[in-house]
Amino acid sequence: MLSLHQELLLLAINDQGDIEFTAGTSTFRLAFVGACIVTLTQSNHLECDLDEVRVINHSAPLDPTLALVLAKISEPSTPQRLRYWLSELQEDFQELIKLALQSLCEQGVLTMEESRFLWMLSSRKYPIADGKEKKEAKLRILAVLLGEDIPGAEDSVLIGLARVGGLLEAFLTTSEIASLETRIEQVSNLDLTAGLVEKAIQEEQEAIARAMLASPYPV
Amino acid sequence: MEIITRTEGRFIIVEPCGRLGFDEASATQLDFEQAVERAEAGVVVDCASLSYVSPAGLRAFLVAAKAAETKGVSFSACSLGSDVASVFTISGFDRIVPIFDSISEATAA
Repeated sequence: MLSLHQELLLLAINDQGDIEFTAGTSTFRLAFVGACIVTLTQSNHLECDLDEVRVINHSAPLDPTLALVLAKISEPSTPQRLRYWLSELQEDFQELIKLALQSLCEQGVLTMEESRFLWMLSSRKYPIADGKEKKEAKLRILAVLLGEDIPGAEDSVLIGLARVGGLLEAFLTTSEIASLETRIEQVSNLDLTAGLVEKAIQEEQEAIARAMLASPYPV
Repeated sequence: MEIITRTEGRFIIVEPCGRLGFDEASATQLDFEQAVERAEAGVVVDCASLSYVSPAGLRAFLVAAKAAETKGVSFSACSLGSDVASVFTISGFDRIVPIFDSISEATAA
């Protein structure tokens, strides 16, 4: 079974093997880094509360992406707040994504294709091998959104981070999202760490909006 | 952490006292689930003496809320201190676990 951060990344890869444009946004970066931290809290490597993130198990996880995140969080002698780590780990975002893509290729979930763009620029695509894992993630999301039961923590966080990372739009229409908004709101991010990630993303979006409004140039 | 469980009419009242962190989460989850099994009408978690809840502790609430839903009994919390209330709000648990000011309000709902 895939980890939360792997499923989130899988949702960001389209049928042609390209990474969706949303994956380049700061909200996706925050959601992906947040997913790594949530996964590490769920595997009991980290404990996160309103004040700080603490390492409670230093043994490296098998997943290389999670191992890198844990190593970074283990570095400082004093624990830091989640907001600090969301910002700090964005510097390692490219490396984290690269490790996650490699890991998904090794697991046979993705394949890798090298190609040339305009005969010169090399580009890399990650076509999905048989689509089973991505289909399963989508079906779990839809089952929760169309049902009435309380979801499990993993499904709830996947929905919440997919929403704030702008990934629900990849397989639901705008009108479908609008009609499910109440349910999405009810079941998203039933997890303290994921809730804090969502709050951080909202604050960043508000800061960007304020900066744009304050700009002397036309928006 | 001490957990006091008692019966009030058709409800089971569970009172966790102290910190509900990673170390206490498994035992607390078991107590919550046993309370759900025994409950005729519902379970009320009295949080008056609960000073701290970690993500692992919250998962104990989520598992118990799902078990209560499956059994068809209520699962609610009451008398949350400000820190615990903040954790419930940020994590969205107040959307799935009804929160009341007192045990009497919770059992009357």
